[in-house]
Amino acid sequence: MKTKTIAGIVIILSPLVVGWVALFIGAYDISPLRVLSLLVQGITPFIPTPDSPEKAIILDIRLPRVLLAGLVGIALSVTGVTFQGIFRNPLVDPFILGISAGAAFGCALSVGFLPQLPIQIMAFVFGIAAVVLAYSIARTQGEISRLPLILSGVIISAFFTAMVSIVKFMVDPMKLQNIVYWLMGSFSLATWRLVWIVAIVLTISLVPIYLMRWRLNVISMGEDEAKAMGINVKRDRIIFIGASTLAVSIAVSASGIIGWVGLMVPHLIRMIVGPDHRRLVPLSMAGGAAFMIVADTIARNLTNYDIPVGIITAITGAPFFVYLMKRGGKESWGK
Amino acid sequence: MLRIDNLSFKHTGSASEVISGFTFSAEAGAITTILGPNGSGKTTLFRCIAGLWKPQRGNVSFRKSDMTRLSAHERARLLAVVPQDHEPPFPYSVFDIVLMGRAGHVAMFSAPSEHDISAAHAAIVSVGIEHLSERPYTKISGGERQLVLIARALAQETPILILDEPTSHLDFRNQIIVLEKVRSIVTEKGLTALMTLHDPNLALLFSHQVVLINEGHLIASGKPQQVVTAEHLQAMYGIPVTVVRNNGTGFICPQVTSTVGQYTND
Repeated sequence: MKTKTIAGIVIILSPLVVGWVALFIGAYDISPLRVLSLLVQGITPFIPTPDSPEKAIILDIRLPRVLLAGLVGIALSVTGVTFQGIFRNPLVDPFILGISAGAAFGCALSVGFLPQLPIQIMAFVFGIAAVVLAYSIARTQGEISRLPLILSGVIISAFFTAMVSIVKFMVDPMKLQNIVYWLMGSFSLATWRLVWIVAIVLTISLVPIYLMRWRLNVISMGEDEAKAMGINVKRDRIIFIGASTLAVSIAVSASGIIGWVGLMVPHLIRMIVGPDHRRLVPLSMAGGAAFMIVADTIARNLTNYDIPVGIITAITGAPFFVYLMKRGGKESWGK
Repeated sequence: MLRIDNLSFKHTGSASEVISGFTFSAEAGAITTILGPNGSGKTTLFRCIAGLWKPQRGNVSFRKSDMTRLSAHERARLLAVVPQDHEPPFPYSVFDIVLMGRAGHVAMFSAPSEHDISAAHAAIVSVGIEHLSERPYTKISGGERQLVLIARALAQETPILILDEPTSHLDFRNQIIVLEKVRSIVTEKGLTALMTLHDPNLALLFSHQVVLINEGHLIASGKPQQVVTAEHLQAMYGIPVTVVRNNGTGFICPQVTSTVGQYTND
């Protein structure tokens, strides 16, 4: 009980610590203390500070990038937890309902044929469209069950993946390169404007999930049981899926498709503090932010190039699951 | 008093009714057992009363008010369901599971209050499983899990308790322990309890009233000794049985063509 509390506090504080470390690591060397003093100056705008390259690098380049990574990490981890709860399966990820394929198509369409629009808008629109489609296909006689919903997610993913291929095939090689790079997932395009947009949309979508998080415990026991215990499962599921879709769409449109985070982080947190969603939801937020900031710092500094962070998460994700399997899947899946 | 009146149900698109014209009532402080073979409509009847399926005709009323039109939230304050033993996808602690029973009392955008937590504690104490409270639900025995589910239903603080084959996955000893516990809680708290069972002997031992169901129809209802008779059981299950008396209680013995004992005794 006590170790769980300490672990919880460490996890909650982790994004601040790794965020600070991420700010002073980089191609241009800046000391940890200098980073702190620049940050303090940055949030007290009334004290005039002389402009310097260090100030620009920290406040205009690295800080928005670290914040964006943190926000996207929060979005992907919390939606992972939410989907795993409502689909009663610890191996479900935030892209289960075809959102990533939809967003990928939106991006491809945007790069290929609507160059005047920012990629993010079309990615957002088609990400949501994919989930709405999956949801309406799964709906028979006004009822929506778990399995048809997962199946229609697979169908929608396959469909949009094929559509992306068509676009890729048709556009010229220069544009093809843009599409491929975007799909790998990266925070290299982070700006303050993007940080604000993501922060606002994410807050709107996370408030209901956070407030209703205890109900995920009840819903994960199954539809009939949850209903018998007084939960309006249909209504709650729509709220959870709607809010999650919004969060994932904004994350995907900001940074492309970054896999495995929504699976790995909830798993790790569940192993440390247990499955109760009252703790799992907030700690996954913190853990997701910290994880993503670390992954992006590695992506940015591992080589002389800015590697897409999606590659880093995939490289860590695969061995992580092999380790889980070998370690005794039954334990960690909770069976 | 829980009253089932002319209850009938058929699946959408199906012509025949799974249960038809069911009428009986269950008293407070007593266990009413629904007994019947597989496929007799027992589960359908159970699900209609639990509010999981909507009957086409008839209704379920409690203290003279109709229950079929209630929302899930309203119904959960009147009626608690003890499902069959199962494994949840996540290893929640026993306490977390029991606390879920408070869902009908917790508002949509909030978590359980101190009052909910003490109600869950009280339910755990009344079933006598305090020692399991912090254990993962997935790591305890089937009998213990059934007791946890009963505690969860009690945490719901409803006047009606319905149990779906509470002994189906349990060994001989645990069947008796669980049913004794149910009976003492029901009489002590004055609950209206309804349960489905497979074993006619358990029905004889633990119920105040028995309702027999076969092919979607009510065969008989009343005091266990008057209803669970050789005649009725033979008609329902299609196998010959005899009733043996022991200490004033009847026991049902199936007549088997040749028992193993005849060969191994000498």
